[in-house]
Amino acid sequence: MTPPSPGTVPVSPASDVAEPLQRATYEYLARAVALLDSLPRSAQGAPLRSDARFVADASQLLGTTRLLLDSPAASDPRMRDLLEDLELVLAQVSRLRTAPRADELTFIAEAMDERAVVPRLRTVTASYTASGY
Amino acid sequence: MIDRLLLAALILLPSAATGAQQAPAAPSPVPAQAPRATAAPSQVSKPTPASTPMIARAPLAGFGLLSEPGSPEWAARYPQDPADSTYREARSLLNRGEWRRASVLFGQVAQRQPASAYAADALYWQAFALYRIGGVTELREALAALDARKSRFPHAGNAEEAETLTTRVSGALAARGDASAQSRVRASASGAATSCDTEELSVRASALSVLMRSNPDAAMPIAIKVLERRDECSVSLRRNAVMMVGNTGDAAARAKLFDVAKSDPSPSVRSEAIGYLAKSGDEVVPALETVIRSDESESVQRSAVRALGANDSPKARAAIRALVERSSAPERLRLEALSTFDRSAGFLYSNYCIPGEACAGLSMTAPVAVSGKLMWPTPVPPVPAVAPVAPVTPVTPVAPRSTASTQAREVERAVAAEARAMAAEDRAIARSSARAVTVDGSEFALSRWRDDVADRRISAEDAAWLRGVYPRLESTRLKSRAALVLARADDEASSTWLLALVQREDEPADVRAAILSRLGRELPIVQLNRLYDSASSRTVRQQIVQVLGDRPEPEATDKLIEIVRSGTDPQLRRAAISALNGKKDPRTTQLLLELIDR
Repeated sequence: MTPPSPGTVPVSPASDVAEPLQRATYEYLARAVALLDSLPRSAQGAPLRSDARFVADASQLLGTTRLLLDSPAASDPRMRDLLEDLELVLAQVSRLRTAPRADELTFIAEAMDERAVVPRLRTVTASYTASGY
Repeated sequence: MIDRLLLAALILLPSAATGAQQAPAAPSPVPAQAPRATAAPSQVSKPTPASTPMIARAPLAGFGLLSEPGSPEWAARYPQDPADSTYREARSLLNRGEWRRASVLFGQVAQRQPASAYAADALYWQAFALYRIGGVTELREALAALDARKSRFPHAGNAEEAETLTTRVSGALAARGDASAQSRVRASASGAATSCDTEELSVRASALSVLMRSNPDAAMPIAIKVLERRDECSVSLRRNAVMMVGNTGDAAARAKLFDVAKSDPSPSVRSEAIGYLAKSGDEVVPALETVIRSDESESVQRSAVRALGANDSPKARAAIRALVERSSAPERLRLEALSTFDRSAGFLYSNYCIPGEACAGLSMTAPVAVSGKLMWPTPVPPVPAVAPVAPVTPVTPVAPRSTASTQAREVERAVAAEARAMAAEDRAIARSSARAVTVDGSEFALSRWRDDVADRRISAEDAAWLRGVYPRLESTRLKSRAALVLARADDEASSTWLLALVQREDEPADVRAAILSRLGRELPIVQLNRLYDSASSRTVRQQIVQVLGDRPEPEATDKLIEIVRSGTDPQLRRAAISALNGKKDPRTTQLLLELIDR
């Protein structure tokens, strides 16, 4: 399976998708970037076990990911791919709530690297931001 | 086992990699009920290429986890777990999207190592991988794995997530005609209308979402019931329901959203519902106007303004114009209303600019020689409703350039110019956009680019109206916003009007600078120089310096050098030096040496 390249995979927010859904998608993607960005930073920060909020946010984002997967937002195959990859990553992050092990973080990092999740997220959020959302 | 120790040592202490082979292996009391994995060595005993990044990510080991390899906590929890290698391999395969192989290995962990600490997780991930394969057989196997997890490990963590996955797998089976799965999903979704437990709600929301996709007729009454709830605990669920109902677009759904927009106690739910009413024609205009006037939440009011602005009906257009002109309305709402006249800002990036290495050469300092308008045929300019004071100096029309053979490059430059112009409006947006600039130069993309951007700019009719309203706008912020919207207009009359405005010393400097940020790239250098010399405002002059810095013509560099050498305002001279610095002109070095030697 060839990982998608962030440089060649445009995911357009402007399609036939209703504007409120586009806005909701953008908000969701921005939150996902923020959350995944904070994952490596936490390595030097507060212990994860005390950061229930972090894992709760991941669980909530996982729920939104699935909501979007069931919505017209996923009608764009590239957006669908991104959402599915996020589902995989967030499912792993949200499972950190019980007995997280050091290698769990390694698996999560590996999942993000394999699918170039963060660069692709940045690509899409930049597009949405520029669209005035 | 050696694998695990080696990896653990490398994760914790990368510098110990060479000595890891000598790491003593702890005694490995394999539980009697857990036979050792019998998978082929190639599957379980060697780190795959994909596992290499694990070693490179050593800093993550300090994340503050409950247990780390080698720690007493780790040893207590995972005492020489025989499934370790298989489980790791399966997780790597999962991350690489090799669903089939991953599901087989997870299945092996669950079946052959039932006492393993990984067994419950393995069943979950086995189901996940099978769900991704998506065939009926695999989906049934996934359900079986999740059911086994529930019965064999009733106290395992993440039960809610396993339940949600069960719902999704059932939904996928229901969509393929499985009646029992359909009932399962419907029963789960029905709970959404009453539950107030957070985790329970999350499962119910997922079920409702699945049902909405697989059987909208069955889902709609449940979603409507959810929308009738008024309790605080269901706000998130109600927002989700608004999205689900809004996306159906039918009349009954619109009526319900109408009700939610007026009466839901949560501002976020009301805002969400209003968004979906935008395309409902004339009928929603009075209700949106009522919201704008009387809703207690400004965010809801702004949502209503955006919805009104996105509505193309004549009544909505009239309402949005009236709001702009209403001096008693809050300024923020009027600014929002003005913004609705132009939806092209940044649209270029979202559709035609692809972030990545390919656009590394394009940045906010890229030369911007090409007008963003050059791809359009010149429209017939409308007559301005109120003509501004005549320009002090004659305006030289900008000659459009068009070379079919270099279309792609020109669009690329135009987009860079747009990024540059946006910088003056919102640097944060411009930064993220400029990083993302590159263009698919195909004919199809070019054609869409022209059509879409033209459709989203302010119309000639609205532009004529806005030019007429401009003198009555009370604040600099309102005037600046109006000027920027007009600066994106694609008509000659607006360009002429704006250029006249730039030269009026009685207009706010911020407004004139904002106009220059957008139109400056189209003006002849000689005219920019004249504007600089005649301007008395530092803000305006600074903007011109910035524009000159972006222009590739040698005359622009000449003017900047002149400002550095003979200007009397140190701040402007510094700005000119900074602008020259981005040009990489050999004369800049010479000039700097001269300044230092003085």
